[in-house]
Amino acid sequence: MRRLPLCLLILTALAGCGMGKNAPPPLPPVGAASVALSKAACDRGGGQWAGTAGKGMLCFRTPADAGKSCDRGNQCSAGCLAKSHTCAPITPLLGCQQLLDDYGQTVTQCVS
Amino acid sequence: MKMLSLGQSGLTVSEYCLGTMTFGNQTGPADAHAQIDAALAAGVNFIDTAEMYPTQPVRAETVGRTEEIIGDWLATSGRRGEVVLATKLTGTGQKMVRDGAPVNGATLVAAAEASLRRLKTDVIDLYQIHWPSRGSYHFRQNWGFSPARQDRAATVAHMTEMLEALQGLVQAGKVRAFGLSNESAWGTALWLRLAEEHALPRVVSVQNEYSLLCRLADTDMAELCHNEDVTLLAFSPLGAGLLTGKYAGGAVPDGSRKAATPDLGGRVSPRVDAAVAAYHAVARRHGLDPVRMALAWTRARPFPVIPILGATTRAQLDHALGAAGMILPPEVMAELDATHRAHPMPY
Repeated sequence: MRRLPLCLLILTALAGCGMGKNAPPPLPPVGAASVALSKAACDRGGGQWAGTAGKGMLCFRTPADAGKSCDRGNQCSAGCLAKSHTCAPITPLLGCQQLLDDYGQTVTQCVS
Repeated sequence: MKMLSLGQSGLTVSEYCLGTMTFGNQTGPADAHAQIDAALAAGVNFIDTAEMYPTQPVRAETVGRTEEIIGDWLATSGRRGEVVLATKLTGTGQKMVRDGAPVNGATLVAAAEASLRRLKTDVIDLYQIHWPSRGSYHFRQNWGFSPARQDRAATVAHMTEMLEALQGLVQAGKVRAFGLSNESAWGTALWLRLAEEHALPRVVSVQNEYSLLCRLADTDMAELCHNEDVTLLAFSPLGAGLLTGKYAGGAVPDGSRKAATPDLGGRVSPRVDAAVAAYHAVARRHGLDPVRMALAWTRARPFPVIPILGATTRAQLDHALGAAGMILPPEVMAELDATHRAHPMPY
């Protein structure tokens, strides 16, 4: 009489495993798998997966508004260059740059 | 004015490019600015210059002067966003620049920063290497060219270093695209391969001499440009003025390039006058302007070509820009082919 409930319990547990109802969420990829995913996402988005001197890899993209005339930062998707008054040709923009802010004032942005 | 893609750069440029090597020497600043205004009014958005300009001759005290003149125009006009700006790093061996020292990655970065200061801008759209460090067959060196002293491993190492330096400039937003000049098909193919292997900037253009009179690019370079989507930027498309006919019979007009450089950089040769006369005869037979015919022929080549138009005067520039959109009929193209066979490579 006591065997039946135990069998049912085991079957229920196995069915649960099969359905995946109580499975923990998959762990996020780490190491090389994570890098490969980032690179694939970069490639899909039309970016260039490129190395930066001594700092690993980054996804660089050419903004759609690259090179267009601008007077304020909010006229560009990735910054308005202060001297040329043109939208930044690449994002992220590494190093220190003179940019125009949303009020048209020159500011220095440094990205390392 | 037709607009074209510059290689795979994402840049859109006019079918003619404004050359500037007279700015600061044969052409004063006011006339230079008037030429830029006129070119833009005609639909040109592509301006080419170089660290070492002006030329005829290159002098230590005027190196960078042309960039300064263009920079003054950019600063005062506020029209930087309307132009695609190309300049060049002077190559190894030009005594007037860095005393001819070999160029390397550090040289490239420092020279680009200096060009940016003179141009009064924060981005160079197309940064070109003026000539290869290993040597070149251009500028009449084809008649005695020998690659025997070239070292392949050293060339690969040098190109990789230069590409890595360019990559840094691209990532800092200081350069948008990379081009070559006075290069060969082998050299360009190697630059392309190294860029692909190491995910470094890809060559988008090669600026070599090309005209009815100088057709070194007709074979291997043409094949490369077509298959690799590299634009040939044709300098001296009028043969340094020879194809205008102004030097016919040994004439030397005041203020002309020939007045400053009598042999036109080795282009004055025993066969060149007859070749020019034959091309002019084709133009006459078909009621065409010879200057515009020569330029339209360049644009009609079966690989991507953009001619670079340099002029001493505004009138010369206006005249040449009349070639924009001009299509030569098949019978003219056939006669130009026949003339080429009769007068091959006159210099």
